[in-house]
Amino acid sequence: MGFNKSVGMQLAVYSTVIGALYAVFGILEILVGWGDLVGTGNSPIAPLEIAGVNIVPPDVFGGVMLIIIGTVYLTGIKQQSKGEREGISFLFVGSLLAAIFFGVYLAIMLANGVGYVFQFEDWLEWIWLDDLRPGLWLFLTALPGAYLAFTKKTWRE
Amino acid sequence: MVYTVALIGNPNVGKSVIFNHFVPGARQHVGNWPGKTVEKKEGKCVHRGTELRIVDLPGTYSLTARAVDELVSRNYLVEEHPDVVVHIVDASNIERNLYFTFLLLELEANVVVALNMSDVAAEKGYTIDAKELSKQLGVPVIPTVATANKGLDKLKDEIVHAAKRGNLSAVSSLDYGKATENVIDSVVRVIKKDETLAKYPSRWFAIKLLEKDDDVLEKVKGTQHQRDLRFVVDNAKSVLGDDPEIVLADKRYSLVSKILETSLVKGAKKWTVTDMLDKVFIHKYLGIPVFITLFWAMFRFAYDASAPFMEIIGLVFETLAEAAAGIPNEVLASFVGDGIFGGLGFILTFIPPIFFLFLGISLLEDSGYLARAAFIMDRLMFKLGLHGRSFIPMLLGFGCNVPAMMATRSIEGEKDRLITLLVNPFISCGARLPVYILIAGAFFGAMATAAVWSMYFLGIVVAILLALLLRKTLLKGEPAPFIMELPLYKTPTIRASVTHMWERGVHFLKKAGTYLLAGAVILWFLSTFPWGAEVEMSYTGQIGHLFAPLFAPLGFDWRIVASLVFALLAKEIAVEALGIIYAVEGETAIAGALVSSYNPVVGFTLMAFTLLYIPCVATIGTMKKESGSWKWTIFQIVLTLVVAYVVGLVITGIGAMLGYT
Amino acid sequence: MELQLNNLEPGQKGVVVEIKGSGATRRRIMDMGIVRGSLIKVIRRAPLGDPVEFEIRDYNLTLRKREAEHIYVSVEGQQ
Repeated sequence: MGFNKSVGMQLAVYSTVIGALYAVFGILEILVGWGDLVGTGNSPIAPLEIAGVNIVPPDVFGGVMLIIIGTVYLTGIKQQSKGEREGISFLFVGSLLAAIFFGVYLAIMLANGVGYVFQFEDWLEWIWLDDLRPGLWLFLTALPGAYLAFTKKTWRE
Repeated sequence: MVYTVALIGNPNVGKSVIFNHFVPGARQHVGNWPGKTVEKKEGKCVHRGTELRIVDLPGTYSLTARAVDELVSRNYLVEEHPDVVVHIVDASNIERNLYFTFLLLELEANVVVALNMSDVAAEKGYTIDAKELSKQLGVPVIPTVATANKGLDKLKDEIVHAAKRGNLSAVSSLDYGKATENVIDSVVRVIKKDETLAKYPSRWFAIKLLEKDDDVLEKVKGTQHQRDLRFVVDNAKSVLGDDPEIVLADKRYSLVSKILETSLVKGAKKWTVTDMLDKVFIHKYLGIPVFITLFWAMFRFAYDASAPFMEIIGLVFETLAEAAAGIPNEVLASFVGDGIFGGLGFILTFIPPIFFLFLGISLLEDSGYLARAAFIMDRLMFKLGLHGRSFIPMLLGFGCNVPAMMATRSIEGEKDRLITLLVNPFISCGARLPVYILIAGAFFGAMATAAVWSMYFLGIVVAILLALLLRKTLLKGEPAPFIMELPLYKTPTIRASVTHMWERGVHFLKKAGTYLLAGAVILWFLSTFPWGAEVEMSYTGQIGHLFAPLFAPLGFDWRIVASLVFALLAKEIAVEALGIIYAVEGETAIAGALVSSYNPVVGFTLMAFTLLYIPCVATIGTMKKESGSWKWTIFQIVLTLVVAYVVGLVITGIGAMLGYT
Repeated sequence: MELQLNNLEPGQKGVVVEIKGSGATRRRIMDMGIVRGSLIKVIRRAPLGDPVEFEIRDYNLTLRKREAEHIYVSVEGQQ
């Protein structure tokens, strides 16, 4: 059982792009955060900032998670390109994980907002852009795939 | 007239949903983990003027005497004679479920079958002819979809009807073939002669006897026809050509197949969402990484998203404590302010992360993922003498040992569960981290992070070694077998999971709350009396002095011992307690005081001791509740103390070799 | 050909011929639907190689290899 091969190729290309994006940002988070993890403070690359906003936060473990999500996407491309329906599984679960991380990071951002509203000590200087992580906005790129995978028509028939 | 209605069925068939629908007041946890309901729950409901007492029995796969929960259900059915027994059947898994129906029919119960999850069955391509099935089984069969509230009114109608008409005694529909029936009959004939055994359903009793059921064998002992029965039963194997237990299981399943020939049409096999998800969730290489991401996301959520709420709770109790300062009587003001509000405030700040962890676990559990997690991790846990289901509680321990220990309830084997409970506190929870950070920061400079990591590592190693040791000594045996159903995935609903989180959380507060309050008050008393004394002269200080000689080999003086007493409330209090004892404020000052008084080896020993010694008050309360035994609770306290002391000695010894004394 | 269930590869099917062993584990195996004559298929092994997921009576069941060892199946058409 399978689906149209040209649809499969499109899915494979899409998965490659999303997978690579997650993996690249995952690697960047690790490189930026390495110094904090080992306690020396010397990271292979400096924090990446645009207009004072941290684009890639130093977060080794978070980076590993992004790489795993990317890997899930990438694992499916071979079967997708052949038009095998099993390949959809990886797009499905990749999207699911991307959605979960989006939800968690969004919840953290909202919670920090609560801390800011109450003006607790640790949140005095918090701005929402601090919590705008790759795991959050990368999900926007993953949305079309998630839609495709979650609407059953593409793979059920 | 009140009719008693028992709900029974395999795990994970939507039994709890139906119970909640029947008795909306009695909220009961609905989980998607096979083997969930352990306690028997009941409630009342009125349907069209008829009063029903609904009893929810544990979900089991069988009714043998070998498992406690199965025996609970069976004894209830045999001894209490409920008016109606509603067997809730997972229609998408009808073959295995009907096997259980036969076990109920053997018991001569007044059975009504609820053919639940009909929607899932339809999705699977099943077309079930309920009427035909009812005809074949000889009992009513009602298709339902409990989650969508379909067919439940009709089910209630049928229950009331069945209760009023009385038992149909559908035993006649059970025909296990001539040879088997003859053997059963020959046993029945002997049983019927015996007065003491007359109260049991004779056919059921005969079958159980043939199966060499422990409980039934026990009942036969000492009766007048014991020898005759033994003779017939011992003969059965040669007559049937095989162990009767095997023959009977064969017969039941072949009868199931025969019945389904006419009542079930299977469509073409579809590729389901479950197939799709398991392809990745149990993938050879991706399975474990994906597992890690899910739990990492859960921990981030539990910790980072709950932080401001912890502050809010802290603020509330601070305000309350300040208000209490207005009480005219000084001692009472201190009791209410410092003792109750101060102490509880400290413990209750942990409520937000605990509740958030509960929410995460509920979502994973209701979806069906936790069964997969156990499957993935079983190999590893088996090597440690534990069951796959022990992994999740261990992992949760890194967040908080309280929800972790509560999560052990899904572990079937009693010994497996006890070991998991006993070693859980060695897994380093979040509350210990502030202590490590302070001490490591004070003593180890650039190596501080490594020192903190080493604590987590030490905790894991100690937990593993003790699990192995307990398995070889006090709790000998093998982990329970891994004969487990992987249920279909379900989309967890936020509403259900939030309710579920709330129930667990409130349950925890109610049960552990008493211990927490008692603990807080005792510690307040110890640290403020004799009234007006300095810290050093308070009971805590005196305890510190009293035990200081004992801890001298570890390099601890009375100050450290006293702070460890304080930290029983919640481990992170150790930091604050050291501040009070040294009469300094702020972490930098505390760190300074530590460095000027102790060498790095004492610092490291203190970190390890904080990790390993007696878990906090909340954990002790949870241990008592979950193990149901003071004996094991006290054992755990002693065990953790001894382990902490021994590890402390080892570290001190290594330190001495390195030249630190 | 008759084999122990733990020796089957993922994707292989067999018909149960005999269940050895005794006690609670054997009973549990039978209660779960593995009796003589039932068709059982190996779906996959856990990522660490054990336990193993099977399909029996249209649902999925897991067994450790040491538990599957007791189950003898006849397998047709070996490759």
